[in-house]
Amino acid sequence: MNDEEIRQLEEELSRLTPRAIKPEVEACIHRAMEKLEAERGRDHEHSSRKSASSVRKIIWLAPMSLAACLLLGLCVFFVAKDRFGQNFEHLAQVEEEINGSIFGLMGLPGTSAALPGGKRSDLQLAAVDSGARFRPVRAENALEERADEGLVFLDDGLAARRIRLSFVDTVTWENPTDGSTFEIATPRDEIFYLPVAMY
Amino acid sequence: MYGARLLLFARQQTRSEADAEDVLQDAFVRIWKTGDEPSLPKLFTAIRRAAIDLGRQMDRRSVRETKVAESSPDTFFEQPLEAKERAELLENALRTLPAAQQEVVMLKIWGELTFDEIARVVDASPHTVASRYRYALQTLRSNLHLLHQ
Repeated sequence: MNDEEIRQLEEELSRLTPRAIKPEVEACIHRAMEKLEAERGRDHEHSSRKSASSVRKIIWLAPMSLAACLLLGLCVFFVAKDRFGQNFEHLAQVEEEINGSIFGLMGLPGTSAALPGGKRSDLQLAAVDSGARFRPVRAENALEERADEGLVFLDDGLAARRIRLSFVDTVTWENPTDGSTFEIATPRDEIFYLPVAMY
Repeated sequence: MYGARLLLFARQQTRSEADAEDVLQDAFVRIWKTGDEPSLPKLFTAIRRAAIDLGRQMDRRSVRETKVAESSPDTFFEQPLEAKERAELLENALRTLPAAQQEVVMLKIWGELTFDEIARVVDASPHTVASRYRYALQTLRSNLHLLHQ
């Protein structure tokens, strides 16, 4: 078989047209791709939420740890006072230094040193009241999934395709004082009926 | 755009059209999951691997074959009325080739891949692929003569 014969056979073969892909198969592939795309989006959102949740945990745990340190300091102070009954002035000074350091780290004046007559500064009051000052800063409606639920017949006998859109509405609240945030996510479905002409 | 060529290769790699459609979808999903930019050689490779995996699922295959036996005629190519007889003859001659030669012809003629690209798809050396292609065309030619007679 020479090169010319090979070329002729190749030409004849290449004139054969492969059968076209069926529209329903193409649609099926398209749907699978869309579903994967939606899943990838959801995974990404889930991981973002997870990391945001970790940050929120840190934000809330830090003051709690500081409060625990303070309590421990006070316990040490009272135990020492009770057991030794002396050097109170010295221990009180140490306590003030510890509290001063702790609140200094938080950007607040120390409790003992900064509270003459038991009064609190505006900054401290703001810190105490911060829980009530969250405000919504972002709202979004994310389309999670779109599903064609097929042909249905309505009460009046008309045929329609039922399309279900699944959303997640997310509202983000933020406390401007310390920057802490939380999110409220609410799932929601919207159903559409698209009329179908029956011939 | 390449749907028909990809389906043709999938059909060559499987036993029925239903399997070929499953394999084609599976191949797209595999490519998507890798996150790579889809290209024709990558899609052919994915189809081949999906077909191998499907071949291992014998139970499912038998169900599909039963289904396809009741459905439409299962040909590789469009068969226009004016050239139906010749198209049938070529297709029958092609189907008599060993699978390894068939896939090289499919990838070369309708996939429009180079021998290097085909070698990567079928896990063989370019030299082997070129030899298979030449043998395939020779066998095809003699099969055509036999079928014609």
